[in-house]
Amino acid sequence: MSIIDEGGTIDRHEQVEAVLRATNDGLLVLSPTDEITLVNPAALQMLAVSEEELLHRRVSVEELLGIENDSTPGSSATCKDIMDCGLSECPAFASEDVRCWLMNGTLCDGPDKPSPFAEKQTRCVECETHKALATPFDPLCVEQHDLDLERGGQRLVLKVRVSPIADSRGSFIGRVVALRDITAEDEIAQMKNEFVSTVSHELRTPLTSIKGYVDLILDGDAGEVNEIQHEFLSIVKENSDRLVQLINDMLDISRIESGRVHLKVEAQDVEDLVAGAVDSFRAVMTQSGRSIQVDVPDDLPFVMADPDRVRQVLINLISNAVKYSPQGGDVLVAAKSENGVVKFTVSDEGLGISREDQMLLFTKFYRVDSALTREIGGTGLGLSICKSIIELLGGEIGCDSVSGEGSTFWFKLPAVPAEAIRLPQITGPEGQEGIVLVVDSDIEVAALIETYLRRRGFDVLIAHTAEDAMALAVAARPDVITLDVILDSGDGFDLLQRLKEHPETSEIPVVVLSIVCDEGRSCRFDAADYLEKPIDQKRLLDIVGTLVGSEDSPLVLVVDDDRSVVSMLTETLRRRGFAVAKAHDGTEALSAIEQRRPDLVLLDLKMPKMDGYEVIRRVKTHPEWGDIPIVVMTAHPIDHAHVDILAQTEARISKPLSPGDIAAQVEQLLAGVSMESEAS
Amino acid sequence: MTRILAVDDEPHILRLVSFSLTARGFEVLEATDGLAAIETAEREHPDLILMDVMMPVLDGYEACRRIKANPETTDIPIVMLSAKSQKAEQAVGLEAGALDYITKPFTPKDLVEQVRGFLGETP
Repeated sequence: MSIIDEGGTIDRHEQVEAVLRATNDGLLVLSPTDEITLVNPAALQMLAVSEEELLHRRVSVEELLGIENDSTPGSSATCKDIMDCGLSECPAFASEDVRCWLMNGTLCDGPDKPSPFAEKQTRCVECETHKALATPFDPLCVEQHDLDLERGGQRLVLKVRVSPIADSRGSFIGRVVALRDITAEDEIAQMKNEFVSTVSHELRTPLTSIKGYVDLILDGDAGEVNEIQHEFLSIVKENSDRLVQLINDMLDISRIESGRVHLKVEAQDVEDLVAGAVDSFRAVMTQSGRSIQVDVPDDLPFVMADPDRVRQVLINLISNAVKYSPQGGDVLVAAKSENGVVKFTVSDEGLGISREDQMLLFTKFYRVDSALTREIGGTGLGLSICKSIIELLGGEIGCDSVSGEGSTFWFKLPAVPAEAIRLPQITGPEGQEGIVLVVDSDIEVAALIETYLRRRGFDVLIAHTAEDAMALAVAARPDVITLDVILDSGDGFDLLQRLKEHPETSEIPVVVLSIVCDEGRSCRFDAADYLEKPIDQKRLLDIVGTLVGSEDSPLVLVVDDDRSVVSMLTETLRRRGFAVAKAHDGTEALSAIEQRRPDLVLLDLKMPKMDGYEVIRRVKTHPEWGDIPIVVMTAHPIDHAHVDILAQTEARISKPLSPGDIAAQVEQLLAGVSMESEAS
Repeated sequence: MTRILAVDDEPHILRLVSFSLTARGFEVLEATDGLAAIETAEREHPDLILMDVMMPVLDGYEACRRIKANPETTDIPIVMLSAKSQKAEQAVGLEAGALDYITKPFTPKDLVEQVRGFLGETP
């Protein structure tokens, strides 16, 4: 049968069907309610099913391809759930909501609000909440995924592209699923990856010998080395180190490019990310007499990122900034929020980079050619790796520089909308958290502190004079007092002393706020904590939160050198009603225990300065601390040399940690403790 | 004297490990494959084993598993010493019962310091 009639006109419908039949890519068309309305032979072959089995069935894309939807519980919530839980202030929910339509079959504002599909789609997709919660196959987006399937004993890798389609009036009429067989390409990519991995291993073995023996000779283990021998051997050492770096970078880039890098993308505190990276340069900078300035405001939104990878990028950029400004000068690491992203910048006062070089900086093996760069060495892969990482994380990277005036490298990462991470307890409308008495003679400062505290759910009382403060403290018995020691009506330290001497108020913890750095005096007067002005909102809330919890919530001390672990656990435990104290190494942990005895310690084993084993030993042999339960968190199997020490702890949890499990374990242990004490 | 069993099929690397440790007062036993490592561990009961991964006869992971499975030798700490640098590969070693993982190339000085750390000796 011909699709061209006698008059020479083409039957559009038949033509389209013929084209679909002849296409190598698999194609499926789904109605708005996920009913399969069309499928071509290539798709049937890839999925190894018959047309009868598929046509007119209602099936989601995930189901069709036999993949699990591994999204977080929040993201599988329907539109209605999301609205009900108050998680979202998405503009599209409030007006014409295409997602409501897709998920619930109704429009939020009723059917009489016409709006082209494309417009709704754009608004929905642009919405921050949507971005944060998007599922693998979001009905609103053009989504592309690679799927590794098994069909009839054969491996099949498919590139799946799902696109929403609209009719000429702009109404949503379903989705097209296009399947492309990329098994061959994938296998080649895998071979390349394996090749790089093997080569790198093969190179490492001889390098181990070269580097190792040179090190031994340089260390004088093979007898005395004269000056010129030392110089030459140092050159060999430097170049073998460079070769090692090159191998590591090559491996890294090959894994990133082949998509074999597993990112753990989570909401991250920008301050923690920057602090972690800058910390690793402290020793180097102190030696060279230079400094790294950090400018990160406290009110930045969280970013969606893999913390280790972002730290890798920051460390790379900071290390370049230090290396390429040989005449000294400071390095500035900053972050700021702009239009739904957080922009990180690393600036130096070095030589600057010409416009031509800027264009090529991020390409593999490109190195700015100058006497300096030749001397410094490097692999030419660092920035290329940074670029790949940032792009994988959905960000952007670049460089601004003027020759001779220094350079600024920047990257942007998507910010997490506050709505998506706001915790119900924190936004709680009533002062369930407790009463805070704010004593400050400056009305505006007092109002600012009040805002911070109320936002977090505290009830706030304000006193501007020492007399008012004393009266309110006795009458209202607040859970915490914040005190500015510079009061118009007299010295704040006098008030502090009176509060501590008065039987009604002596037990109330007082946080001293001051522009004068007078921590020693505050301690002598038994202040619970000390905070310098200008007030760091996060620290204030941390301190007050911990102190308010002090009366009835059990205190958990979290000790880990990985800051992201500490902040993750803090958040989880606070949400469950525990007060939390933090420490990042063994010595910090001991001084935290000394400051305030915790009800339980969550302890990492591998830490700088003093490791976890030593902490256990000291706590368990201490006359007053011996009964504090310790829960060990470790990424490593138990060290047999330390079995005796570990036997003294109450529980052991292996990493990776599940915050929920840990909180449950803590609850269980503390329930046991309180029951025992009641029984005795 | 503290005795350490060094296992590596590359003679130059084995000598490097041996030399570095002997020079700093350790007694070093040597083995060049996984099976020999198991036998030496059972016979000599060293204080620590430094184990390469890719070796003929029996690889380091399997040797580690078997040493850990034997009640006679299960308490000997094993540290993997390997050119495989990727986290996933290191995880295999740790699952096999290794205490830690040192990546090649290493600096002899660092190696000795780490060994002391594993043995709980203060440098």
